[in-house]
Amino acid sequence: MSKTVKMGILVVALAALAVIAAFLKRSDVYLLTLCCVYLMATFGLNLIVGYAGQMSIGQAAFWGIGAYIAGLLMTKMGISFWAVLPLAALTCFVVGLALGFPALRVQHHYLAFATLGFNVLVYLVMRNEEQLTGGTFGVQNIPRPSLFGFSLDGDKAFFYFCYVSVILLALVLWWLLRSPWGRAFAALRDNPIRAESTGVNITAYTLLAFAIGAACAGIGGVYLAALVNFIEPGQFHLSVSLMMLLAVIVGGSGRFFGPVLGTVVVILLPELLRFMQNWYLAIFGFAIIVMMVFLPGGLLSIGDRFKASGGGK
Amino acid sequence: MADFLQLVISGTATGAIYALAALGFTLLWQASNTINFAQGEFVMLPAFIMLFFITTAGLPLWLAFLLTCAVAMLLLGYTFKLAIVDPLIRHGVIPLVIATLGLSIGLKQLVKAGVTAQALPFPNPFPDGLLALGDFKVSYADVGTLVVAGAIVIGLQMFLNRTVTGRAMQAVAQNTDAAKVLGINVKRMVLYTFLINAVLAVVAALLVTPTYLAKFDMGESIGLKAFYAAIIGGFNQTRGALLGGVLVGVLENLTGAYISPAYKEGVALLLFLLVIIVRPEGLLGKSEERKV
Amino acid sequence: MTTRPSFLEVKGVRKHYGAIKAVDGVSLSVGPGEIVGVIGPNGSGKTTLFNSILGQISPSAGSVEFCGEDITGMSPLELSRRGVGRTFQTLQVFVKLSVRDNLIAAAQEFKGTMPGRLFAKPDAGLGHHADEMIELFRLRHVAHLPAGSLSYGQQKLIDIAMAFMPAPRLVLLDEPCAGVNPSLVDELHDRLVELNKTQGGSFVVIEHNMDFIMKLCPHVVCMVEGKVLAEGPPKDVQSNRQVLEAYLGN
Repeated sequence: MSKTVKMGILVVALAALAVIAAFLKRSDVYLLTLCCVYLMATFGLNLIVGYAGQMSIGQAAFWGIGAYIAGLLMTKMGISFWAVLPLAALTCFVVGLALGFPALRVQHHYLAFATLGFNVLVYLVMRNEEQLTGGTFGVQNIPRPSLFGFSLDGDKAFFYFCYVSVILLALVLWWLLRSPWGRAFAALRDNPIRAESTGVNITAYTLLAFAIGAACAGIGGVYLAALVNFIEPGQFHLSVSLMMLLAVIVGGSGRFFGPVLGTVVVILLPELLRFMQNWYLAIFGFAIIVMMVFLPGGLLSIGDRFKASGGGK
Repeated sequence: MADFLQLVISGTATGAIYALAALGFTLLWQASNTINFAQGEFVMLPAFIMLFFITTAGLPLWLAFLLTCAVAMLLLGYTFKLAIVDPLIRHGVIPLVIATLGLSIGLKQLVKAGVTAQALPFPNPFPDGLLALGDFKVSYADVGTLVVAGAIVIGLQMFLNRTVTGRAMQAVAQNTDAAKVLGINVKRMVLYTFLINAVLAVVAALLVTPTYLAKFDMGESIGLKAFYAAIIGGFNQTRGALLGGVLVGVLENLTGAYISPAYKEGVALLLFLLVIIVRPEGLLGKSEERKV
Repeated sequence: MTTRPSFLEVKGVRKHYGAIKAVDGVSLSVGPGEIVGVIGPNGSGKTTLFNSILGQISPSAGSVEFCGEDITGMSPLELSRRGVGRTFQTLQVFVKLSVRDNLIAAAQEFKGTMPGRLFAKPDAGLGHHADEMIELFRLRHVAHLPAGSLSYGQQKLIDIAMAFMPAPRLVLLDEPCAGVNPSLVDELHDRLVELNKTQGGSFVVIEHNMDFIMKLCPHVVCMVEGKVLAEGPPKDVQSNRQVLEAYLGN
């Protein structure tokens, strides 16, 4: 299948989804919007895990930092969504650098531990520092933005806003990965020893991937705050980070559209299983095991499976 | 002073339980590069299985314990290894981690939906009450925990160091290829590690559930503490798991009493963060050389 | 013995692993544009010597100078910045990247600055150079396939081409002929001679294939048990009695 055909199919699919969304009921539109917002974080996580080959178990912390910056600044200081967005992204970028730097100097797999500890720490601060964050009561009445005077309060309007935003974010990441930086990330994930010998500054690139990934989550957090209008620490618990990691791996780590599939699995699959009532999460858990055992490269690696059994070399 | 000692002793007892879970966790990692995110649920599930044997089958605690050890070895040792670890381990660490994550969710929700979301009481293997030792008092439960955990740890160490099988297991953990060349049946040694982990988890369940009650989500906190303990002590050293567990238990108790209960959770985290920044190989661990 | 100008100067390098002396006091010098061969029975310390020079491991004693600068123990990253490259005994290519991407990756980090590369063209301006290398090594028909899907011999060629992409001043080649089809060995010889002429870099080559070494290297060093046993023009080393004993004795 040629690249142009693939592109064509993608554009048609995106347009189709946009059209279908106009006819969906409110709760479904909400779910789709949540997928978009979650996807911003998982696209970032895929950059860290799939492209730079690191393990991060703290992406929800950055989602939360973005959300709280948005929530607090918008409600308490009346700052607009548009000003908060770059602020959240920059903050998460810097925090990502600060977090990654000491962890990387030691041994690369300690980034995983550092992110885990960071997530728990951020969660505890969110929960305990009532003065600052509202504690377990969270932040309420977070407004939705308006675009050129056009209000985005409506569920469908806000969905389209998030939909276009996540597509734009994906485009930026696509451009990043096509640049020589993308090749450096791929090299360092594929073979760090050789990468180092060819001049790839592993520390610099890993840090950058981590910081950019964190910034993506921060951006997603701002959108999340506006989507749910009410944020509280439980939404950014360590378990959410683990879910995001699960989404990236199940979708197909290191594949551009992996996060899309993974996000659909994590957010939509439990909803689809609701008919099983109490058992739906148990089924979900075991479904994950089955998915990993049969497709350890993620759902998108199914294409490779067919090539391997069909073509043969 | 007496208070302090009491806190230390009961903290050590709690820590010993974390240590058992951390020990299993570390053994699995060393023997087969498995990071078991379901370790907490490996403690939770036996708690409910034992309850089943006690309440539904009416068996005495000691028999329920033994039967549960057998069931755990079969399910959480053998089946876990066969169905999940073996197919995935050759694909690297991450797919296996995600699968154990799925297992953690699955087991938790299975118990929640299939049994109950409530916390159930669990019989105490030790007599109630306090033992007076001079100035201060310790509960029989704490003493009992220390004795049992201590016995298990010592027994395990002796097994690992003084028996042929145990030394073979250590060889596999240190250098799988060399072990193969020496004719050691690596697969079987790894299986034994999984079986041992299963039993350690059942013992931990026996010791921890009386106090904290059996609930589907009890594994979350235990799993996390076991992870902290293993890293704090040193992921590549089994003795590290013990030190880590005890440290976490004692510090938690002291913090809860002298500072504030709200910060109890934070202290294990703080210690964890300190260790990975200042001494990342863990307190007893050996620093890993840069690999070619 | 004529004095050879030094470009790479290895002085008394030792690498001990406890009681084992993998490299036991080796000194050698390489001039600009020179091709030096290193031979010796298995376990004589050749690869350990390479690894000590190239920063994969730090030597226990001794020093390494490159163009007058002390590079002892420098990391592979710093060495690559100074124009020192290598190939590996066990193949080290980027298996998921295409052949062309492998070659571009091998040199892109030396072009421009890191921020600059973010906004550069996808091929970092190296597409043309990579295509030339692909032509030189006769890899055009597989240029867009993932490197991991090719035969061992082809991957070997890619590995070598990668080392030469940044036009290094000094390249250490660790057993370039190992696993390569005998018919390809002559081609490899021609490629290396050509690269030596066009790029002007110095080569140090470890090999077991005697014909290859004798044809390619005007100066040969023989290592046995971590020490230099003999060195000089290929014919002299080949007929050296101690060298013959070391090989036949094994």
